[in-house]
Amino acid sequence: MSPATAPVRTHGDLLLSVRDLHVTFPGHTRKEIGTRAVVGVDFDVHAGEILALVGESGCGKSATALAVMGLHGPDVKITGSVEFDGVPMVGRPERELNRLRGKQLSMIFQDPLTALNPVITVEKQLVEVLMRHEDLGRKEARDRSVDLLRQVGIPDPQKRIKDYPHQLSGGMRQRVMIAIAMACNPHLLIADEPTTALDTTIQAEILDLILELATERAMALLLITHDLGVVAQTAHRVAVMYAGRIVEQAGRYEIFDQPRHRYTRGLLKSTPTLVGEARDRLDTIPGSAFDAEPWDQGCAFAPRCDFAIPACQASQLDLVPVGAGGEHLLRCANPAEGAEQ
Amino acid sequence: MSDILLQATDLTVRYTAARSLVLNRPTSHITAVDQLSLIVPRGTSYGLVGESGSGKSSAGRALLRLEEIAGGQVVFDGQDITNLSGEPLRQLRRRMQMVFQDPIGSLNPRHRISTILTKPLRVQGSYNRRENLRRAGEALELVGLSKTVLERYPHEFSGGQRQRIGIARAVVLNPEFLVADEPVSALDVSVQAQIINLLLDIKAELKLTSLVIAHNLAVVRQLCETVGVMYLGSLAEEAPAGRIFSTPAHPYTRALLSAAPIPDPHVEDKRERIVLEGDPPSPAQRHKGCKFVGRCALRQATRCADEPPALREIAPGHRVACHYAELLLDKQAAATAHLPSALVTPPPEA
Repeated sequence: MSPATAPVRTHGDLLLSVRDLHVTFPGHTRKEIGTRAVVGVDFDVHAGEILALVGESGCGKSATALAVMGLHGPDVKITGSVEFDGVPMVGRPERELNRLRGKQLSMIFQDPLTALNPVITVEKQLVEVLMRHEDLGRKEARDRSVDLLRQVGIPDPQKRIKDYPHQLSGGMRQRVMIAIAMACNPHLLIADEPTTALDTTIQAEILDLILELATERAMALLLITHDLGVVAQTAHRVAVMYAGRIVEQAGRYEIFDQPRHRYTRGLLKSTPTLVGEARDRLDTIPGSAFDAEPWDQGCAFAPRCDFAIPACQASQLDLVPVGAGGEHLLRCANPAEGAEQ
Repeated sequence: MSDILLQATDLTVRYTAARSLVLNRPTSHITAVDQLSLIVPRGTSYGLVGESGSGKSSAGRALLRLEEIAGGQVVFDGQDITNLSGEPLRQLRRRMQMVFQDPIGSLNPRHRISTILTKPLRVQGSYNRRENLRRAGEALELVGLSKTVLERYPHEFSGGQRQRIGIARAVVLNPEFLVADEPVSALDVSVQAQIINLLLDIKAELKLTSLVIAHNLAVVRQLCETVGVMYLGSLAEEAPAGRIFSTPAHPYTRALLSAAPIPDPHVEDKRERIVLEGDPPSPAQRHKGCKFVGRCALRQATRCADEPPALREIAPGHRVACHYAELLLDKQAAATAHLPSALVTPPPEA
């Protein structure tokens, strides 16, 4: 199975709808405003679709994912709307969220060693999910767990299920986490850098596994990553984030073939690759996202952008459709031409 | 002056895995680096790639004498440094330096940048404060920072800037040989490109010879003339960078290349991935034959399991440790089917 054969946009229903999402982490003192991690993010995920959220560290991609899951702490300020299957998630009581999480939407984290409980066996962690959401008895849940481990490619699941997380290799741990996330056939899976901590060959296997399971179960996937190679391998649609906002969003081919935002273009050009002629030097984006301005005075990328014009300082830059089809969205006052490379 | 700056022969590094209860004697070992032989010509970069546990970091540290050498020999600029100690070793350290992966963990958070950068000079017996600060400032300018940052502390800098400081510390003594252990893997894409370019500039400006340790093949392709692929402590394959990516002759190299994600959806659509069976075996395990045999799709009965393949030259500068490398190369079409045609280009220069 290859992602290319999957339709760019399934005719599935709207599953997740995020509108004007803001996430602000508290400051150290009461007076401090705090860190604005997400500053107005809008996107949709449809059933069976794979949307990749790409960006560098600090761009707000993980904060967005945690807000969708309702996993931020109580002192993190979240505004805007997140609707999952037509039901609002922001401000929902914890008890109701618990009924959804692990059942209809679930999440895989980057580091399986910290995400799994180190003092509980794999069996208990799997059975717990199944008993809670699926109304199964302990024995049935156990049988189902062994089955799940087999499905995620763990050899000898009868035996491995008794292991503690530290007894498994990194790749196996990530498989266990996938098994737990998939236990109740969720409609939406959020994978936050699922392969970043893994070796190259294992990474390829885990990505294949996630894609296979997602396709098989017509599950939607929100993939959060910094790795453009992973995006090229998996996504149907790609949203590029910078300093807490989506700056460009397009189909998988479009974003790589005809990136319009200067930041997207810069990212692509600065990625070393194994394909094509060896380059003497890499193109770089000057500065770092570390000192990214918030979006109050126009585009946050403008200080690093070689193509900044006065219009970039305009107070409001919206994410608007460009070109035909309305699938390609862009937030830029001076975009690159489609064909220019 | 010979063309070879650094040569390792049968380099072996062992770690103690378990000790006896009574006398605390080591009872079992893990061989992290197993009879590794490599040559780094003056003025070139050698890239050591491999997955975690392949021994690439241990090898790099052993070459700098930062790790105890259990066997073999390291020759630096014609001098056997394997058993050097005391003053001669300290003198040697001036000539070889290291850049670490983690730009946060490798800088002391309580020290000002001036202290961090002048420390190597003081260790090497230069106590003129003014002169030391001048040299630290020069090093900072070389890595693209202003010397006004000398009075600041590491936490005031971003990851990329910290890595620049780490590089400044490594070059402040004007070394001849630099080991960079995953110099960019902790950095963001756009910053990573800046540091890669910086390493290229420094290499040209200081005529540095270097060993770059990385798991990212594309990074090594950008930085190095020669690439060695390590698997379980030994070299599986070694070749000029242009050649190893176009004509990999070891099944492990092929699998590694086919698994590396490529940021181009058209390429990704076409490519066939070679899936390895199972996880890498533990380095504690002993191997009679080829170490890769358990995961190799091309293994032949008995020979691969019984007879360890020697690292042998199959083309100029191209060494491979596989009994059946020619078989792989003969089927040139098959060997490159997993790669996009753009990748199968003649090497730009050796």
